[in-house]
Amino acid sequence: MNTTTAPVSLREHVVPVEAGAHVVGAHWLGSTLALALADGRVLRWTDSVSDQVEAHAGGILCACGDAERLMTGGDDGRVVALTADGGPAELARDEKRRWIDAVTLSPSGSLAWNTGRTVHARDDKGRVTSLDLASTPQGLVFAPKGYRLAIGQMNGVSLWYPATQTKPEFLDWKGSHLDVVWSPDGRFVVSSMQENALHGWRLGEKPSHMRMTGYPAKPRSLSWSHDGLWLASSGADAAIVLPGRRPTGQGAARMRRPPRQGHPRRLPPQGAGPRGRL
Amino acid sequence: MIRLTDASELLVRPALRGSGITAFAWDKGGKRLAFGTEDGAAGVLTLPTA
Repeated sequence: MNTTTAPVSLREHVVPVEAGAHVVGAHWLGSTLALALADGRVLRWTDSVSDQVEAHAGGILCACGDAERLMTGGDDGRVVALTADGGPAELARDEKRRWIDAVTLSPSGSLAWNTGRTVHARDDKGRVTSLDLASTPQGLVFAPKGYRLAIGQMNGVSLWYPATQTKPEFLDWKGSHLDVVWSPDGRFVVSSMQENALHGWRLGEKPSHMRMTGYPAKPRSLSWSHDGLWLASSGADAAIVLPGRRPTGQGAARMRRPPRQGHPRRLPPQGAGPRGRL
Repeated sequence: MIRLTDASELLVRPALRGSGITAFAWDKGGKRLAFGTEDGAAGVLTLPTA
């Protein structure tokens, strides 16, 4: 059993940064920290020296990034990229100034965003293709390899190859799907749901379902561990860490292990915590 | 913050009303953790070297 000793404090190792507005996204560009702020600014911080850029005419709604750039979407209908030292570069602009609710980048530099019910994808050569959906898309995420986009929406997740004309594959599960993550090995797609649950699919000829219900709140933040074996989730007083799948061998056994809770002092009452398997 | 290897708990920032964490990110080397909050406070944790 875990003892209830006070947590070790790392507070003395924290350098405060005054951002001055709701922080929508935090992203490292090498040794420069970029903070996307709800008032439309991006604050860049490098070893306690900071500057700020007026990236959007309105507020920033979403942000993502890769090693070189931060990408933001705003309520001014623009998608803007920013590097550690340059000025903002406009990547897309919606003529009707529809809000950009979601942006995402692929490892190879492709990007995707939405305007209303339409999803747009831009490949690494700058070609843009668009897809109209029946419901407003929520989370967007590219597959770890290849030009394929997962789109969380009402009653399921669409898997779209933007470079082809083929109809997207639809992974259906009743309910509203919010954020979507793709496992680093490309074999699993997991979405967070409006009804305080995660839903996952093992991809393949016949995708199989994985359910994870019973969160006290919405698990809106999901992240894979560096080795891809664990998926950490918010939505409870504890950080719920789900055993992912080993790349080889023993996979099935590991997937059946119960979720692990990373907050030993605040375990929810028996039966009240998330349950299920991924 | 939780260390996965032994589930030990490490405090980076105490809970403050109206200042919930809205964003955080590790740097590429995994040595620094940046966080931002709903009221505009932010910070950078540099992991101490043992």
